[in-house]
Amino acid sequence: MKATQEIPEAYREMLSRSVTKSYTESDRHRLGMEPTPKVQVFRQGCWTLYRCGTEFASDYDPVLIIPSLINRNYILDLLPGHSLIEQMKLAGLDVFLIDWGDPDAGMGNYGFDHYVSKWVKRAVRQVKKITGKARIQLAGQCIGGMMATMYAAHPELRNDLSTLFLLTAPLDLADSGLLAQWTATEGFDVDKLTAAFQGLVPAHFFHASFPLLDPKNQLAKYRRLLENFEMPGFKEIWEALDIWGSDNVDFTKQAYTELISTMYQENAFYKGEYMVGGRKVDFKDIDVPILSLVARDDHVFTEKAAFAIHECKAAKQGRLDYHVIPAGHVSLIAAHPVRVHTYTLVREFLTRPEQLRTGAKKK
Amino acid sequence: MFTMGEDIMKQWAENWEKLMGDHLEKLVHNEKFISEMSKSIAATMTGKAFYSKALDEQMAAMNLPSRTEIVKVLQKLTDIEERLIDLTERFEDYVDAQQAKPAAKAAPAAEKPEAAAPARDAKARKQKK
Repeated sequence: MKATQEIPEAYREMLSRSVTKSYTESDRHRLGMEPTPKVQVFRQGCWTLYRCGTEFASDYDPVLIIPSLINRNYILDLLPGHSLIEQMKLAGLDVFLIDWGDPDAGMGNYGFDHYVSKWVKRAVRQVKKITGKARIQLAGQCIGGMMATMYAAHPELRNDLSTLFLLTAPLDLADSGLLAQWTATEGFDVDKLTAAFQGLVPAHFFHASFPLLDPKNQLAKYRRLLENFEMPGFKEIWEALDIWGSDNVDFTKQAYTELISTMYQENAFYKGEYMVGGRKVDFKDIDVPILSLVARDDHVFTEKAAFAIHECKAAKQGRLDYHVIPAGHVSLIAAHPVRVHTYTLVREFLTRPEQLRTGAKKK
Repeated sequence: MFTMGEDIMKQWAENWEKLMGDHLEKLVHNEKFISEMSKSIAATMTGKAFYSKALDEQMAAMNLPSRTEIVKVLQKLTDIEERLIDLTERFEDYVDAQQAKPAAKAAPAAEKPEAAAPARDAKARKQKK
């Protein structure tokens, strides 16, 4: 065991970096964050399409991952041994990842419709061209999962997909937790709230409310670090998650307004009233095999928001693998020991032979 | 290992954390609090929007472009870039389709001899007999 004087000093340093959010590139480097090498294959404006790894030969349909818009995509490739992408590569998959980057004010008029019908479609087109495969496996995390569902529900776009993998993806946003309660409150007027913003809603504006989603956890954060300071690997994963959590991205004003008013207040996507590329999309029409992983202790959305996927055609045909993992919104893939179970489920689903995908649930 | 003084501090910190946690938890679920909070932020933002508009007018009076105008130009540029990529993709798809056409025409001709092969083999076997 280390000398007791040594621990508080190192702890104080970590605490200071965390409170002042003074993380630098060298901290990310020191921790070995984003261990999987990535090659840029397409770029437009702020967003980039990457191909992950160095070996691309694969027997399976390529995987395209749509990350959330709220935070950076490296939660999917956080640290060695704590990386979903690393696991996908080990399974022999050809993995492509979208990086939404930092939108600029010129993109302010682009909402979810544009993200899906233009940018995700463009990314899918690139993946098909590069790999020469006719269909791809689409994966989405959090709001990226909602966008992947929109793609899979679109009458034309859905033809590009062989499977759909959803990770903590909200579909039914009515009564889906604290965020839903806040947006349903009298006086919550998104137009007034964003009136002063031109093009972009700054990250600090909406991220200010995020710690309030789970205040007890926020208060316990630094105590937990001190209590587990000696545990091998704990402080590295704690710091990596803290870096990721404080690395927030601006929202385009249109996407923010749609998320609050169209998705939360009107629940339009769940009701099948949301339009993508001029067509109404109803997730109940999805008939490709689906893997949906939900976090039991999710503080962003309740399980009800993701459970709605049971209403789609694929579920009725027995082609839905649905698992509730006893972990949090991101810990199910990045931190908690249960992530190993998550990785197994993902690998098994994405590498499952076609014949096993029809009506059969592989044990 | 904690000393007695540290134990007391630890106990005190745990109690504080629990009390604060419970209090904040109640607060963030309180509809009245959220409503008042939203109204207060909305009022601040409306004020900020009013200030930005006044600033825009001042810039216009000085014959200078305002931020609003710059954002509009940026949006138009982004739309043009989007349209250009759309057209490039359409053109690429058209070229791909054109290149696929001769290949598709050539394919049946190339397939014929292969299709005839089993018949040829059967004839050869008959002749042997």
